[in-house]
Amino acid sequence: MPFIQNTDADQKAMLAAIGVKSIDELFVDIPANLRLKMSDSNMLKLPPGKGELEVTRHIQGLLAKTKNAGDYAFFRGGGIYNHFVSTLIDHIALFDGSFITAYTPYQPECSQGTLTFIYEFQSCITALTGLEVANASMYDAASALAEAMMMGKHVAEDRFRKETRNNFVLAGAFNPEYVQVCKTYADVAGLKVIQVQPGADGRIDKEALAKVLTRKVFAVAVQSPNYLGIIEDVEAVVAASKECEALVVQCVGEPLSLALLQTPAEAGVDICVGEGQALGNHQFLGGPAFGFFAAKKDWLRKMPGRIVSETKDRDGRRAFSLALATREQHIRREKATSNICTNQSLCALRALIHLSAWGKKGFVELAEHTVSKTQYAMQKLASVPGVSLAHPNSPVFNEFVIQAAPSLEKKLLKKRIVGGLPLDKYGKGRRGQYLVAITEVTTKAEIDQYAEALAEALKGKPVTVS
Amino acid sequence: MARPDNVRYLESHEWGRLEKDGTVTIGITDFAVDQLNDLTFVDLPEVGDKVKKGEAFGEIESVKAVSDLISPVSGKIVAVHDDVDSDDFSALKKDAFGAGWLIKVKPDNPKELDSAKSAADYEKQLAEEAH
Amino acid sequence: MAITNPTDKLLFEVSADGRRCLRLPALDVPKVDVKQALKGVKLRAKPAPLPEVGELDLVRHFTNLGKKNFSTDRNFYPLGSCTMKYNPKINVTLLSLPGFTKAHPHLPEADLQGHIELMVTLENWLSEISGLPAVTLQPAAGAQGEMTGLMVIKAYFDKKGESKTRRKVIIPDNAHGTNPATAALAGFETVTLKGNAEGNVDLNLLRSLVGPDTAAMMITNPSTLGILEPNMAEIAKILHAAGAQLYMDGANMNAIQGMVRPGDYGVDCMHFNLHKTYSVPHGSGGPGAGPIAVASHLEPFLPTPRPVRNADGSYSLDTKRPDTIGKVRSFFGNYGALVMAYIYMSQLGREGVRRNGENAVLNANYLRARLRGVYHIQNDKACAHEVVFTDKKQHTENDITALDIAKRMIDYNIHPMTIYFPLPAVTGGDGAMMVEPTETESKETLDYFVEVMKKIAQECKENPELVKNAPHTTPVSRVDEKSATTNPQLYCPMCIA
Repeated sequence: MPFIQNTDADQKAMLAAIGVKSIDELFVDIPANLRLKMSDSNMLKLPPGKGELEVTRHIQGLLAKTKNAGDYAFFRGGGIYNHFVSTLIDHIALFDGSFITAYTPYQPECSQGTLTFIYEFQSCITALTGLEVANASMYDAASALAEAMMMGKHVAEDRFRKETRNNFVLAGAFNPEYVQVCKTYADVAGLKVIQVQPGADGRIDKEALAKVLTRKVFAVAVQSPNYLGIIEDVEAVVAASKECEALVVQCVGEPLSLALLQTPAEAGVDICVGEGQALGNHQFLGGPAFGFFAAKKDWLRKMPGRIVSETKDRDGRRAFSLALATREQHIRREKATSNICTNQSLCALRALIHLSAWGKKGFVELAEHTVSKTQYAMQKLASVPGVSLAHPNSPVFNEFVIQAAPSLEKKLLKKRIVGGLPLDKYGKGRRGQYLVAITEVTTKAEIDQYAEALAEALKGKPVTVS
Repeated sequence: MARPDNVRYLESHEWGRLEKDGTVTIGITDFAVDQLNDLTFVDLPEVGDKVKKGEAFGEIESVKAVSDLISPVSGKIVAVHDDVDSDDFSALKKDAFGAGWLIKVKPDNPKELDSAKSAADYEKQLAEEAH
Repeated sequence: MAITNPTDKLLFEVSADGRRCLRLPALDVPKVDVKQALKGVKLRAKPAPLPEVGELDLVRHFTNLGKKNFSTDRNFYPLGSCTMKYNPKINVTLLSLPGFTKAHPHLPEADLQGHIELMVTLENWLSEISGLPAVTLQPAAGAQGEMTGLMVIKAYFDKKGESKTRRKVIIPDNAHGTNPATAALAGFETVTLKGNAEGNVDLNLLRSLVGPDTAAMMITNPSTLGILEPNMAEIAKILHAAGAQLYMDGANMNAIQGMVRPGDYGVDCMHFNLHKTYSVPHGSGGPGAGPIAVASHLEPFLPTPRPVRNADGSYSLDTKRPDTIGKVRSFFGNYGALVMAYIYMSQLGREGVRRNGENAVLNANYLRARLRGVYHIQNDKACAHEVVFTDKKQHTENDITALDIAKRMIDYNIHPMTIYFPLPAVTGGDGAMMVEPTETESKETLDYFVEVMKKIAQECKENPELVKNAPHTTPVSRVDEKSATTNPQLYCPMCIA
């Protein structure tokens, strides 16, 4: 049998030591009528097992029925980005068993490797966000935002004991994946998610936001750069939330933006969450990657998730261990800050390697490179007859929205181009709009091809303006 | 160690003592302090808050455990031990029944305390729990 | 003066201006001035103080960190309830093919056919093993699977107009802490069910607790004490008679896969931990995957999108699901983890699934038999895939706790068993030592473990200080976890510059 080392002789000896005649006797507590028999026709309907060669062929066969970002000039992001992933990362995180085949570091004496890298990872998140307490990571940005919502509720319950605050405000253009997950969590928790739609310029509609900011709101979240690629004025959201004393959460879909933009701490937010895929994690249809989660230190004890702290061993040497475990489900049970048991350690390790491999200067260069390419792409695409920028006066980082015509996808695909993501379903008046993403992988030649193909596809089409 | 006779005990290891001024002082027993071992945090209510007999008024934590603090009486909180509230447990460790008190309550009905255990009954409980 | 090898320092501490590993290609578009391009945008005052290191030192840093970890590739890892089995190398080799690594979730559906096919097939296999007709792969972990399950149950009662009255979830006292935490998160009240003397469900007590206000019971089978619950069918009947649902925590599926199907004894909803049962590597704590399987009446409420096979043999993603609870995770969940489980299960096949369960249970019972009398066993009868010893003997005789014994194991290059769980309340007040060998260990390794445990028991008598001060062979001695909590230092000072 695959991966089982017990021989028939071993099994015999072991059964004798136990004092039973067959393995079946060990399952006496399962009523006989429910037990599957190996010989039965009702035995599991699974295929027979395959060896390594067969499985490899089978997987290659499945992949032959797919195409990936590398097969195209690829211009889609929307939360997952087609970045270059250094080979260093797979060597350390995938192919060396030291981290990938370890469990959660419950026993610090034999888990210093994991505890140290989590501590270094937390330090990197602090370096990026400026916020003093970062956890060891969560499932993804969407669930991290939902956890930030729950945390905001718990903080408000503590701070304003005599008030009932049940509203969570999502200000401006949010990734719809994040919104859906938040709503699922809010539904069962009895919380209300209020979405404030962006204004015509794609940025937060300040007047609409002001209207919903009452003392019923426990937290306000803003995605910046937002789903449309636009950099929001996070400081203004912090100022607007002062009066109703709601916490402010910043959500970041593309963490490379943190290399250049005002930090969440500088903007004055209480919590920053985001998607870590862009930091050295593969695309894998959107997971696994990780959500990062950082906060002001005042809220440490309300924070969900694993946390690692520096400490000492009995001999006074530096050591690391899990900290503040009593917040967690295995101790506090129904009163825990969250039901989360794990973090996405391996994905966090990948981010740490990515950030260290680029380093302080390299990471800034990477971001600057992206800005230059994005600016070029905006100019180039907007110069195509029939194409314009949807939000020409709003600043963007690596994504932007073009206004063209609907249903251009197929024509582009024929030229091996996956153009921007159609936004038809994202909101009213977005017919013919596409969200275009640029990374360091995108070349000038590809941008030029995209522009050319757009021009051809639009020839003779009436210009749509919504 | 003999435990004081002038306080009443809960099965969950809190104690309450009716003071001469009519308030009830509430704390946890030396046994509880010992069991929780490495105390880290305590979460106490504020003066003016109400407590209910048999219900939690706060929490006390050690590195790997957390326990509710149960009140032996209903009433209004008139004092909270500041040192303990700011997670300084030295008094609690030295003198659980004196300097290590947690809160003082003006009871709605001081008689409620009578339903709690005597020192002898509490000792009996501890003897039964030990194996 | 103490000298420190740079490999023992943090990356931040060996950082120096100008060092780096990666370089960008020459910019092929006009370089723009960021301040100009992002006019009106507030920029950060200083660059993020990330470490700057050369490639060799970076590689050495992580290689050395790896040596400070126990892992299944290097050590026997009998950590109870975690199923630390061997993770086949082919999983990661195939996963790193560009067809997976560059699979963007917003690719056109036509380009995702092989991926959707993989998901549909994996759903079918899990459905077959659980005996339940529908599966969603979206939950990112067991805890999220539980939450999704309870949300689905809640939505089901909502639809029936009963969600206002069905507020309670019954949970046995030996349940893993996630169960009550999840129930609370999903907006239910929890009711604790005390177990009987064997740690099983007390049917009469259960009957007295179940009523029109019960939404569900969450049960782990085999239980968290490593015991098969003999009355699952009866438990399901009691709940169903009151209109309530039975949720099964599938954390311990490794014991019963291919032997019995939870759907066959009345379970309505269960989750799998693919990182336990189907060998997705644990990754130092994650990522995993926690799919749930449900009975047909719960199927309409599953998260979207649903991968489906069409009549013409093509595959698509169904989002038109009016009763869905929505999404619990972005896109498709931890697809990379699903791929590894799929590859592993392809190798197992139907016979392998069954043999895994059998050998997991055989190995655990072998350890139980061999260590009987050396360590106390609270409930010495046939166990499932894990066996719970306690420190009763060593604690009473030598004042040595489960923690001490666990730490001493490290000196013999064995990862400690689980000791903080189950709680003493369900082990007769003694410190638990929960051992789960898994099916992939050889008899030689199990025999080594037995010898080590006997030796430690001897040491407890002859040289208790040796055990109390263990481990002695690790890079650090016992770690002060209290100061980590009371005086947390969560980042390296250099990262706030």
